[in-house]
Amino acid sequence: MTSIPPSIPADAPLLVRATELLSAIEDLPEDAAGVVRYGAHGLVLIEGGAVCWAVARGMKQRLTELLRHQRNPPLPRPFMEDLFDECRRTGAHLGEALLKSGEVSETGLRTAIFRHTAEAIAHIARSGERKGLFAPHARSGYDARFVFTPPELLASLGARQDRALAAAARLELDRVRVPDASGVGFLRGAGGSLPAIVAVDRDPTLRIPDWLEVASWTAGILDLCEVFDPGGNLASGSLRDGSSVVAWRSHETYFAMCCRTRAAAALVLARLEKRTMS
Amino acid sequence: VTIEVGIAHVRRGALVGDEDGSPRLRALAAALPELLATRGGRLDAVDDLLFVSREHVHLAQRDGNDRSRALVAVATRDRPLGLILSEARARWAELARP
Repeated sequence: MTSIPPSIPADAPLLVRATELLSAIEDLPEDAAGVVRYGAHGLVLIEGGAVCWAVARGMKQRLTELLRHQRNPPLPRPFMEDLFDECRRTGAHLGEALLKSGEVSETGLRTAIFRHTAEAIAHIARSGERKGLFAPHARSGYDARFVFTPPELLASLGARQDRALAAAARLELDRVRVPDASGVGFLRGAGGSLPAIVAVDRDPTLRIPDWLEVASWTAGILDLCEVFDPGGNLASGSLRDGSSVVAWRSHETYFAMCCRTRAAAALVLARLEKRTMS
Repeated sequence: VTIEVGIAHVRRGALVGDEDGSPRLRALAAALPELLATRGGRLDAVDDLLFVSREHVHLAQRDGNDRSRALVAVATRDRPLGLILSEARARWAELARP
């Protein structure tokens, strides 16, 4: 796979706009399926609380280019053009045709669609449009493998602040995650601004405001941990409903793992405690 | 395990009665109004907290029988966390015994 860098850097104002835009999508009814139009700036297709596709005016990245670059060396342009023509003739879905050709893997296809969608969200957010007009449509049944949650998309924009750090954060969550738990990695916002989520697990029970609240709590509790003992960087809190949040820090990245059971929290703590041993 | 336990008033942020704890334990008790405060969000009802550093473990847990009070403990980090937590709970049970 080769890499096409995103065209819009994610500064704090863009993340605030994207947070509002994606939170508004989360606020649509759970069974909503249709299109959200942001004036002339772009549109987002949604279904069942997930984002299926987005496109925006002025996007320089084309999906076909992103698809080509899922291979190294990139797939030849004539191959893509032929496939595209065939799909147009037969009405076949380009993604399905690509998978069938064996030239792009399922992961590659997902990555390309995700990047295209995230790029479109960044463009729409930059335009200043936050609340689009929703129009339901009859079409449904997007392939669940190729749809994305709003927190995932927000994290992909946050990750633009430091792609290496975001990749490390995803690895860290993979290392620590246990069943019945889902996590987030974030950078603290400067001067009270929103934290920049750079990695997040897929969890249908947690929406963007929930993750932001978890991030805020995590930052605060780790500050207190540091007050009690300089260098303290691991904390946990249990809630009355039996769930827990385990918070930790690795250099400038903060993490939280939301655990649905105390057993899950104990496992997460066990995985992390060795790092803080003297 | 070197561990010190106590009971504290959540709102007052002080150890109960005339308990004379170490500066670490008193500092933990003093932070309770902030640590176990009600914030009105999803993380509103934090019932117990654990802080871990290389040297120490700090624990605070609301008393299930009297929510205006919390059990607090400070331990040196000389054993696995699980053992420290078990020891703290055993010591709290002793404290709560009439």
